[in-house]
Amino acid sequence: MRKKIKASFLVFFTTLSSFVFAQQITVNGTVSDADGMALPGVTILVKDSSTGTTTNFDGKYQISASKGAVLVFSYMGFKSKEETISGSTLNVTLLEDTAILDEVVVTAMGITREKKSLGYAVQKVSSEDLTREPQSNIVNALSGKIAGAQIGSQGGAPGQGASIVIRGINSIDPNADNQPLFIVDGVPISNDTYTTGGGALTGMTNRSSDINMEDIESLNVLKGGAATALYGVRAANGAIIITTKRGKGGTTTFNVTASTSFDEASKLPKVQKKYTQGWAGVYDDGFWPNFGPSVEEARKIDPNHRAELFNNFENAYKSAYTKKIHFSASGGNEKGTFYASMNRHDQDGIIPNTNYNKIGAKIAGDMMISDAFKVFGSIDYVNSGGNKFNANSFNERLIYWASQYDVNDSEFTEGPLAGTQKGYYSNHTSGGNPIFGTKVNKFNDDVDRFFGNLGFNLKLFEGFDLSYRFGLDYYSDSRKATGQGPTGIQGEFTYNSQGFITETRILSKDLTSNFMASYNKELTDKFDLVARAGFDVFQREYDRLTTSGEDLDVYNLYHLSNAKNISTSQLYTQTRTVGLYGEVSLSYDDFLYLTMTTRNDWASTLPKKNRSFSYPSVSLGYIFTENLNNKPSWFDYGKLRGSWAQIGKDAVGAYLTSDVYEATANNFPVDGVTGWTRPSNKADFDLRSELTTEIEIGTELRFFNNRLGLDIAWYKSNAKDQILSVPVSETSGYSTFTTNAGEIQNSGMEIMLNAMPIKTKDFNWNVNVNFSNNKNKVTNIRDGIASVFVSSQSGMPNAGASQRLFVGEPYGTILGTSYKRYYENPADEDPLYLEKDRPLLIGANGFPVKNFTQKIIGNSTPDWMMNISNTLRYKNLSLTFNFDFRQGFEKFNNLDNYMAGFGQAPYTLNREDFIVFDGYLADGTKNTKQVWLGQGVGPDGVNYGNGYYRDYQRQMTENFVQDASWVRLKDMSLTYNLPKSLIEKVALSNASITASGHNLWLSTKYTGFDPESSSSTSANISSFDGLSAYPSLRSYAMTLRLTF
Amino acid sequence: MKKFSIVYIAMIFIFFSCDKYLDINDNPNGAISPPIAGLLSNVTYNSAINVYRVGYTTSYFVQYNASPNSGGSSDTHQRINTDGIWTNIYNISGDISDLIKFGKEQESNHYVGIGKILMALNMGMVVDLYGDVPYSQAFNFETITPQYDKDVDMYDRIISLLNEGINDLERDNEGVALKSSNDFIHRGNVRAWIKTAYALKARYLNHLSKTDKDDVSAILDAVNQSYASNSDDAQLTTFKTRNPWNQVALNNDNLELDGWLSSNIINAMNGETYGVFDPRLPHITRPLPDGSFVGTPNGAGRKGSGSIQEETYLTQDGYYSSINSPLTIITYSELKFIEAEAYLRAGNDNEAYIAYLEGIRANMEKIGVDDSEINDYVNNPAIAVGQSNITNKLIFKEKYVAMFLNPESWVDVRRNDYNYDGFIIPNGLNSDLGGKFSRRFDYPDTEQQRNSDNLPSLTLLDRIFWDVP
Repeated sequence: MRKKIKASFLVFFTTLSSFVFAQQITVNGTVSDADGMALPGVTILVKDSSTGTTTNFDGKYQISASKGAVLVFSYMGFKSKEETISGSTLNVTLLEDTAILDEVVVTAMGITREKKSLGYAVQKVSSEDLTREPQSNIVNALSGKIAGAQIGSQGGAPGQGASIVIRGINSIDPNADNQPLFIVDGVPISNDTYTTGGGALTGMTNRSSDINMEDIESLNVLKGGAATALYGVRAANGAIIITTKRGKGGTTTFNVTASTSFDEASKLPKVQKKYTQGWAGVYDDGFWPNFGPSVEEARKIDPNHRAELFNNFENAYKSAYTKKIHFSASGGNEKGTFYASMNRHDQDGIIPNTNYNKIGAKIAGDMMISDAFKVFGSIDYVNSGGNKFNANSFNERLIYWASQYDVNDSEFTEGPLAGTQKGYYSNHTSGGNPIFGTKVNKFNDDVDRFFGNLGFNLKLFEGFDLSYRFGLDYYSDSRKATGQGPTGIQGEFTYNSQGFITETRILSKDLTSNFMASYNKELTDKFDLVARAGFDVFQREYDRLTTSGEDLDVYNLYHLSNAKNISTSQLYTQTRTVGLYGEVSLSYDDFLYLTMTTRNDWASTLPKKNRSFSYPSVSLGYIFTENLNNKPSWFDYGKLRGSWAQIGKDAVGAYLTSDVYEATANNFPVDGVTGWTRPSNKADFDLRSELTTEIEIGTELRFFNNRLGLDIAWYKSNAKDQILSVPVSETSGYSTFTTNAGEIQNSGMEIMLNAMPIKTKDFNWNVNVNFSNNKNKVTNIRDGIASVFVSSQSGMPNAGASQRLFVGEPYGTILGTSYKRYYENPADEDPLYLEKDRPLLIGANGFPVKNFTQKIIGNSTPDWMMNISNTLRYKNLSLTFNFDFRQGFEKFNNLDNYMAGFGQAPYTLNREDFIVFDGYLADGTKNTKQVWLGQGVGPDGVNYGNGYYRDYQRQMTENFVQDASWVRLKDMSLTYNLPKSLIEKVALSNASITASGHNLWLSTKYTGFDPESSSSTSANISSFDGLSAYPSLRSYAMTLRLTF
Repeated sequence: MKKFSIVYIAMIFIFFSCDKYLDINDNPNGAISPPIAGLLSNVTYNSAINVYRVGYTTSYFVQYNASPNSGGSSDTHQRINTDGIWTNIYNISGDISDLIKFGKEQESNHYVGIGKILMALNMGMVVDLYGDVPYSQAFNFETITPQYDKDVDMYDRIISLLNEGINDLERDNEGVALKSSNDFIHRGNVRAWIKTAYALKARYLNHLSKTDKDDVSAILDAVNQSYASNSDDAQLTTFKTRNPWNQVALNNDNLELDGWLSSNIINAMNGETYGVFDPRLPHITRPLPDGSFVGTPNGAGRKGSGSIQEETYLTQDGYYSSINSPLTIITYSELKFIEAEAYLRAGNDNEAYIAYLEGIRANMEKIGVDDSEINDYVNNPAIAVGQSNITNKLIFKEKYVAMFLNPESWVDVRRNDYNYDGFIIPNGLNSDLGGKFSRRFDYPDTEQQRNSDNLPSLTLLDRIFWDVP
């Protein structure tokens, strides 16, 4: 047996290196539909082998096979056809399958099933849809393509980190991941985003972006509990199942895809350009950037003053280019196939001196050792990373920067200070320059990653199959954050008071092992049975070491030996889960499908006594059109489905069940001495698994020869016994207690509609709509715990915002300070919610009264999301464009808060006006007092201090919690497929060129950057998107695809 | 079928070895039992940092510092959220309670003694800020919502802790030897710790001056057994990178405005209020370009735009805010003022006067004022009033200057009922206070959110038990 396997491997690898195998006859032909229209992309397989090919754009194919072999032709929306080879030409006509679309989807554990048999919603995204325009991150590429998924992009940072949540936030724990499990070819891979080591607010890349989208054959999204039940604990937030391309037997094909895109910030804030540097309207070439006189007045005092002020944002953010190239080769014969690819991605950031580079290679192969035994494997290598810069620091300094100076003039070029930072005041030796910052402060990540799988399928006897798959996901991430110290030049304005260096090394290793047996049996004429059982082992290891030093001897030598105050921190975690699962599917007469699953997990992160937990699911699909008498001819297909599922979940983190002391006391080490402390979190020795119960019902309907399709899903999930770090009284000896507490409920609806309003020989118009809404409610926390803090973001003074959870309230509440409202009876005031529509309470001085107690001002969870995508095909041309809607949510814009505080916001132009605030005095009389909005002594002789904008407006969070709803033209692309006659001359089988644009148009009331971009790497914290966000990109790209 | 049974057996095997396979949840990032020397280094260092932390906030209440922005919430005695202070004091106290526990287990009496003294210090600070606080049910996770102990009872506990601490330090240390490198306050000097215990005892007993528990002879006895010179002071002189007040000055230099000095302390020292120029002032801050010292009135905020200097602030070369400035916990000078107060209450004006002058002199010497300037100051008629004219107000006034930035000053200021010449009602004082100064902190947000059932209901005008009108 062993020898046999060894020999098979030899054959397997030999096959990979020799594309051409035993010669057989070559069959040519054209595949067309009933109207004679050529069908491109039809899959042709030699029956009972893995040899196959697809038709080209003209519906033509060529395949090698032995005479007498049977070819299977299949195409979505058409009935499959089998033809026996009798000669060298075989033309085939396929008939449309008007009754049922035999769409095949990949479900949990890589099981391919007909979509019609499922009792739950899945959504498939094609490779073409993913790669139509060049994106670097698969999560961003999914935006708008999945109903019920909310994508949080980290904007246009190089590498474009992003987060995704399907069907709402499922965990109360602010630190919970809430993102779906990414599975590539049956192996879960890490989608971590770590900011450790200096990556905070740099738009840190999430690890699933290491997946090369050009290598993806199809992507299926499992949304609910019944869909992911077999995966168990790790897919409790849904799963993204990615199937990568494999070789097809027959011809060897080569693909080249090259693209280049031009990127710029899609939306930058507007600024006022009337008032220049100074304070209280008095020109002063000092600290205050925009509280001076008008530019005209300033020019009378200072003739060197520019005639027009800069918009610092427009001036500082650059346009940049991204270049991508991908090459693949695939092929094989009936004994084995291979797929190999290489790719490179080079992106420059719109913040100067930032970039992201990715280089990858992949090889995958399948080997038929015998008719019953197939071995497969694949491995991906990726090296990715680049220079990133803290967007918060960049944007903040742009607000301070006096806009009469060019921020790009960032260093002295002559004189004794040559080479040092040029600020904006005190003879340019004060006022930090963010562009200079990007030159001297660097954060670089460098990831080396391998992920892949190796396994076999064995058909023991008819209907009984065994499969095994071993998976590996290993990466090292080497990070370096450095800052230049003082050069020693006399009078230098340093960017950092001291230089620093932080070196971080992360090793992450995930191993999976999955064994599955399945049994297929036709029980009776009408009853079919499929039973599966499997055994699943998962191990995750994470090892991090961070060493920092500061105060560099040689100001720009970034080596730890050159630094003082060296400190080191280390973290090692390891978790394991073992799972046993089973599934029984029964189908009756091709219209009734019942699937039941159960899974038991054993988790290392739970105490021994609670380590084991199990959970079942049941789902039912009923194709009622099969039983419908008098079914109208336009009604092609109708299905009802329903499911009920439970999902258990272990503790996500390791070591939550015991207490240890750590040598990580605050402020230590001091003078070479370590400080020991108890950790701030108390372990629960009785921790139990979480349990989520979800019900889902839905329907799939198709009309008018499948030209109109509708898929509706409604779901409700309750996640209880959540493992949560409950904040406890600090006096208890700990800050938090990780225990089972709390329950959260999500319910919502997803509607997917596709229509083909026009379908002629030359012209097609296809429309796809994804709509979803999700309602979320925290139904319980723990007795005595009123709220859970999620996150906060600062605002200039008192105008900070926080995101907290309250029982009875949804996830995503934004709290902050607000103007007091007038109540006839002050007891009527809602203690938690700001009643915005109430009139303002005005103080005796004529200004609104400030309330510094934070109240709920808004919510960052959208009411609904929708994407409408259109594809128009005319002969060789195809045009696609989609509009994306996200409506009914707010965000805290502290960029605007800073811009108000420094006189840059456009609305501060009224600073010389008098105004009567609309509202009531405490005694109930209407306010009539006129006040001036400027600084210092006004025209009325009253001293207005620092003025309305600094003393009132910028201090109230409510002024900066803005409606962030949007509509955008998200993507648009035009593809031209070069005519066959032309390309055949250069030995090409397919060639296309695509011009595309991304984020071409955006409509929103939000005044900051694109509200889609979020400064947080966590999907849980979506309320904040101001100062620290990266502006999103608007990109224009050209893509060339060649196949030969 | 044979193959199938092999698989079946393999699965059974895996299943039964599963338990062992999953026994990997022992945390390799820490130790079940901590080294007590490592706990000691943490609690000595961070207790001193807690003194800074409290002092940072109380310095606005006592008008050492003032916000450069108008209407600063501490300046105007608004309700402020003091999560940072509360959390840090209780976190360190949790580590102290572990130090005491493990010290006892390991018969390391000196560790236990230092632990109790530091517990007294931290609890003393927290009681003087908030009044009733959790103690009996605190620190050891007996409950997630500990009940509150009465402030007056807490004082008994603080004194007991100090007495027990002295007792523990006087016993033989049989377990782990005290190492100088792990004691950031007294470098393993047991005698110095005993003196500090007496010093703290004198401080907390003296807080009772206005109550019927006032015991002058006990105070004087404690003073006598405490410090004899500046070299005995409990202070931090080694820092991770810098004295935290130096960080404040550095931040201010980097335009994160901080450490602005109040017009009240500046005027008290520049001659404006008392007609005498205090030679310590140039050691604290740098004058304006014209040589004058100008402070910022609390609540009013800065005068100008900030592009030219119009106010003074803590500087990176100031005595209190240099990179390696000592961060004092309790000093010989403070003890002298306590002694002066106690003697005055005992009717011994002569000893009171001597102690008062020694308190001034000791502080000036510590700061590094020239002898001639010291002599000029202590001989100035406004200072050298003679033993027959020594008053509580004068002692408080001098102690106020000598205790610059120390949180103990807010206790003094309240005991002295904010009765200092030049002390101004801040611009925009919290309107809930009816024109009065606040007498305590409100409980912090964390406690309101996590332990609301036990929380006493109080206003900022409710007094700590020793703050007798």
